[in-house]
Amino acid sequence: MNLVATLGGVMIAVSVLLLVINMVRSLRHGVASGRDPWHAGTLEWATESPPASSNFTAIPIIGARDPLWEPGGVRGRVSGLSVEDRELIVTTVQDAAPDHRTTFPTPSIWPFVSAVAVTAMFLGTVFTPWALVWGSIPIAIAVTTWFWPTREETERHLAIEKQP
Amino acid sequence: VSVRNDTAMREAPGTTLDAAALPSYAFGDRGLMWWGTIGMIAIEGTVFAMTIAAYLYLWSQATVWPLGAPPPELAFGTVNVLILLISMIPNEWAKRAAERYDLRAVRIALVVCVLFGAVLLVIRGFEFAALNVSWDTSAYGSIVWLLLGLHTAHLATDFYDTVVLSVLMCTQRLEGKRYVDVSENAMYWYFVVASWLPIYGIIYWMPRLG
Repeated sequence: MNLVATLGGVMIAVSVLLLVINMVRSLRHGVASGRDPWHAGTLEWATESPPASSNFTAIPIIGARDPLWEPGGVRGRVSGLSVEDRELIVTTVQDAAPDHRTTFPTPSIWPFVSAVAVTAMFLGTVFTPWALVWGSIPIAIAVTTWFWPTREETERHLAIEKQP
Repeated sequence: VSVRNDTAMREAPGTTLDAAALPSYAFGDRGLMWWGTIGMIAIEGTVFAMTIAAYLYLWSQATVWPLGAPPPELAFGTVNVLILLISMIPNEWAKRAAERYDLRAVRIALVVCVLFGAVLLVIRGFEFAALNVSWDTSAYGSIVWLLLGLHTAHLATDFYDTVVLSVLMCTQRLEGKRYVDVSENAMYWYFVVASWLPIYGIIYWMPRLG
């Protein structure tokens, strides 16, 4: 039994080593594959390689189940979203018809701080149950500051706001 | 040989969707805030259900119940049932005021909700003292503290949410979506109220059934 487990472990180690060798080799030699070396049909292959953090500079409008295979699969692009804020389109649940826009908080240190605070709280509970109480205070501060709007942010949002 | 994909060639030029024409937010089940809140209610409702199941399992295995402790005193928990039920009135008031953008009414209703939450939390403190058992005394003590603690976590969270929202609505320049936040905060409060009824029944009445 131990021998089988050891053999399995060695096999996994060799396969990971192969993967690393392949990565290093591919970084140094050969032609860049481009965004869709497989000629795959789904949308994730349509963005640049490597993808931007926003995935698509302009969100594609889809007209078919396999948008990259079917003519008219990508019918066009979404325009009119803010370039200053993280603004996205929310669609209806079943028909995926464009319904409204939504904005997310700008990138900041606070998501990281809240993760550290949650970790600290749970580590603290190993030593005292009161860590649940005291530990929740920094979490509350971090998640509130995460979303709390700055004056400039609110002004920018209000300038492009459209009431339903 | 070029392996680059020819997506761009399949794209019909000129078809665009002008997102600027879409509204910036939506009330109810069209909005992300509704789905986020419903998702959390589904998760936390499941946690409550599992904890109640654990309580019932321990009860089914015990020869006497509660284990080596008198039943919790009824008064504070029962008072909190009444206050929670009454608190739905200012809560619904805040929700309706938000949905008609009545800022003055939203502010007053939120402050009333904060006061209700503060009273509930103080009485909740007395509830813990009235459990007549410590969390580390027995399996019974652990499970009632877990049940009451989980519900208190939500009571405290929604209280804090409401405080933050009140400060936001009273001091900041407001986007329309903040009224959606007020509306969905009310839905969360309904979950806090509705989940208390079975938990109250379990904590306070199961030990009296024997």
